[in-house]
Amino acid sequence: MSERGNEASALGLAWRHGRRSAGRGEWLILLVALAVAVAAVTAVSLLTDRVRSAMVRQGATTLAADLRLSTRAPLEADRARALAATGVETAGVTVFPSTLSDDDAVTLVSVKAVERAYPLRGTLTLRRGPPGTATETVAHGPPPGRVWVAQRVLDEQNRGVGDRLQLGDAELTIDAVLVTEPDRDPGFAGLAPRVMIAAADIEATGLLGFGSRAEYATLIAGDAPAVAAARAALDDDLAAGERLQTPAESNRALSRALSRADVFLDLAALVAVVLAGVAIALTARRHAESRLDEIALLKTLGARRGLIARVLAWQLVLIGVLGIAGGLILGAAAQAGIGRVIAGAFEIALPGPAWSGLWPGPIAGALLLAGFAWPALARARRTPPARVLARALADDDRRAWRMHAGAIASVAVLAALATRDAMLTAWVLGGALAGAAALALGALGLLWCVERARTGLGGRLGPGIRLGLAALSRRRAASVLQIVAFGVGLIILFLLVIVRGDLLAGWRADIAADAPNRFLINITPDQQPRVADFLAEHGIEAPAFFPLVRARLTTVDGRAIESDPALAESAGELARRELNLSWTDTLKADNRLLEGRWWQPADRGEPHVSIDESVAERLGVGIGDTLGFDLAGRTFTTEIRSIRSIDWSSLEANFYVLFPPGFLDDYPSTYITSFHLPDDRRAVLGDLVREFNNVSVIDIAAILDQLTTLIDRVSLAVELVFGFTLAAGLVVLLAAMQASRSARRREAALLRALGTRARWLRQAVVVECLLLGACAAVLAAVVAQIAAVVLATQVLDLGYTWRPGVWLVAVTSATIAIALAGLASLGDVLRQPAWTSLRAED
Amino acid sequence: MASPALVARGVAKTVASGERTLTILDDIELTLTGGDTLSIVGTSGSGKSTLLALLAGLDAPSRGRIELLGRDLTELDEDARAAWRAARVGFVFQSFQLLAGLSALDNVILPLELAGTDLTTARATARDLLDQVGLGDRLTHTPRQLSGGEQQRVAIARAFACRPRILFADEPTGNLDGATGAHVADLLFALNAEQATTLVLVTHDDTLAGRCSRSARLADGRLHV
Repeated sequence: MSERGNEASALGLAWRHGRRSAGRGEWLILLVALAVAVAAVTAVSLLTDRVRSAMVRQGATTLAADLRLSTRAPLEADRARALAATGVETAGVTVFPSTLSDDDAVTLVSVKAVERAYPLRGTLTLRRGPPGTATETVAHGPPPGRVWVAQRVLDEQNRGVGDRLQLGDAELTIDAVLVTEPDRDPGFAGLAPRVMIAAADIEATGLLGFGSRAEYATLIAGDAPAVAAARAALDDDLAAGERLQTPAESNRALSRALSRADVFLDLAALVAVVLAGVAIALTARRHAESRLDEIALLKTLGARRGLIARVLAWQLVLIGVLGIAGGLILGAAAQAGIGRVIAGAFEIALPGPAWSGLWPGPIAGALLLAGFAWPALARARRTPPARVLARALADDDRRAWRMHAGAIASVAVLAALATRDAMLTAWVLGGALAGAAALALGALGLLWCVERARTGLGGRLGPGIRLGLAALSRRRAASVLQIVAFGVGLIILFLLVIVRGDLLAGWRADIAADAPNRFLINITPDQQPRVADFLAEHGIEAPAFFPLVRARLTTVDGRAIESDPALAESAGELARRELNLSWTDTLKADNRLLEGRWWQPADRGEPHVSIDESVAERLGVGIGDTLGFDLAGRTFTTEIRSIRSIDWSSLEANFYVLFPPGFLDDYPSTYITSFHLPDDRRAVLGDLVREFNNVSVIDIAAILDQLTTLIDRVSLAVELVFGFTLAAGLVVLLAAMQASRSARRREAALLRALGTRARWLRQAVVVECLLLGACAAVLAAVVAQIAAVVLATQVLDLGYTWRPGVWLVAVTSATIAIALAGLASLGDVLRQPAWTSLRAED
Repeated sequence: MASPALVARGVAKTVASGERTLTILDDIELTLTGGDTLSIVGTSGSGKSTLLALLAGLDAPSRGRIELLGRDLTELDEDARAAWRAARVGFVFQSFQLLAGLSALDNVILPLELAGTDLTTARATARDLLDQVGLGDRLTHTPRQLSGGEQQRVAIARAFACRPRILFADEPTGNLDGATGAHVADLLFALNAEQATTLVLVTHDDTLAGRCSRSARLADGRLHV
């Protein structure tokens, strides 16, 4: 036959055989396992893309835009035109300080003049009545002639809604109380209470002239390609002092939340891939074994190895095409369903799925078939034809490791593709391999104990128990494999059901309910003890006070920032604004030392500093390098002694640059503190400001609310995505059970034929499955617990607490479930006449 | 005289069993000419099936030479032996060896497909053969829906589908009751006579052995013709 004829014949044979034997179990299980695998990967991949864009969208509300361009002056007309050409929407925002003065009260305010389109993302909350009355949300700025102000402005200026307010030369009507604004800067730049006016009213106020201290920003929003185009256009001609920010770049706590969510979602994708691998491996082996007789017969009838290989390959391709197509449909449908639930919970329209997210599913399917199914089939291809005469011809097991190496390699490739995170992949795969090895060792240990018990106790055991123990020892290799398969499935179930909750709870706890929501600044050293007393009298737990000195960063390792544009560019904000310097002798809990050593007594009074890692990165400095500061004309140079990582999500006062005590004593300092004050007790703040009128209060309650809402929503999304992975895990458990079903049924039928009572058989199966289940569940619990601690501390940077009670329940229920499933797998074997069962199992 | 259909010279089969070498067959000498029918009898475990596997090229001997239809099988690897068998050699097994997922018709079509016969011709041939073995009305039944005797009849139809020049039968009636076995044997010998096929039959049934023109006994690893 010609080569082409050969190929056509192989394809024809493959197709006809595939079609004719389509109804046979092994085909079907492999097909279903593949479809589930592809569906899981597709759903997770499509959904994570959608959830990620939803989160970014949600995050965009903290910037009121998808992108924010900060400039030193209003945006020039030609640049505005260039921006508009990219198809994005824009809104200009100008922020400047001003004062309001009543007869006896002067309030420093932060004026924000916005164009009508502001905010492009998110909404403003307004209130027309007194505190506690109904609020409304709007998605636009105030109309000209109207002003929206913070409650504190009304309190301090003794005004109400409807009153007039003099701002510079303009007299405006107070239209509403501004309760929240999406892009309120949680940093110390946004200290003063807000006064929001229409951009059109700026001129009338006469407050902005040449040299005024104003910050200009252009908010940009649009669909992803337009925003990317705008970003590309702007990136090219950023002038000195200008910068572009995405929501994640502008808000550290948010960026941390988003990257954590990313890790969670990546984990979901990875776990789906690993599960898919296990499911395919379990079924492919069975599928290959079921083909041995057929391959031997084909060879006997004259089929060459090459033809058999091609027939098997084509059949695999057919399974692949069917399974992948089915998986894609199933996955797309599942993600649409889950997407709807998430969209409902997010209360925003979830962006449509990016169909480019479809590719990982088919690739996963192809890799899984190539890595798991093909090696098993290729091995089956070597079956000697003489098997038709004597089945006992042993399989050559020495090459098995190659098959597994291929499978593991393909999972590694898939995992790396899915997560784009080599570290996480290494952790998960390393963990999975270590877990499987631990399971195999544990299983061998258990079987050894069973063997000892069987020989030691012998006749003292009931016949049912003896049979059960005998079955475990007899099928030694199968038992070990099954414990490993059950174990892997259970590890993932445990991780998903128990640990997921703990990890998410740990994440939410990051933004603790009692996180500080008010900051007090400008406390003079002599006021500090009195402020502490005041807070104590009002039942506010003694907060920590941090000294604060403001200075400008001038030199980095001897190079003057002023005369080094590249350095100024990378230093960014650090060089433009005054830095808050502080000193302390103890390292706070939300600070972690990365390099160098913390202050020793000898450091006291020395010009040494400890800096945040982001500062080290932006300035390109390390231990031993120097930083020079200018404090109201006095300059000094300091040496970097340590680098810290700050957990900004603690929302406590934290400092980029810390000194040892003693060095800054001579410089004028103020104190800053933070504490949690429930909203219903906010009146305390009014009393405080009246008593210490130079002290400013920063209220970040609204920002905190925004962040906790975001995390709640994101964790719901993560839970739903994990839910899908969980379903895939259950399929794996079923496949593991199915794998031993026919052997168990056959053996039971045979024992029945030999006269064993049904009661003993039932007992035997329960004993066998209870031991299998208990071994798998206990080992899985231990491995899952270790994995949880490693995940929490090494990957996600969260605290983790043990909950032995939950584990006990989990292990017990898993064991019972496996025993019941084992019993159920016998089906009608115990009721039917033995002969019927034996024939059916032939 | 026609060229020999099967020649075995000094054939031996040994297997390693732990540190010892176990000799299953030794110094087998055999010559069959075309159209010969040979029965090989022997007790269980005497190595009958092993010998059949060697003669048919399903396994390679440890020593000696086997020529099948003029081709020295010992010079060929497993793949080349398979190619040589295709369309030249037929088989009937004790355990029928039908593919469970395929219908009776598809099982008979299988060797024709492997030999490259076009599907229409293959279908017609298979139908004729199944008619001949009395299963013309059971074409779409799968092995599970057929009795043991019916399954073996399908297997016989499959064995003759390619009009093989030599047929190997391993205890073809071993799994069947007396009456059914006799009917199956009748069919086997009838088709064999019709196609003038050389037949090598392994059995421990003396009646069945008696229907062959020649008989050999396998004992202690040696073939006594």
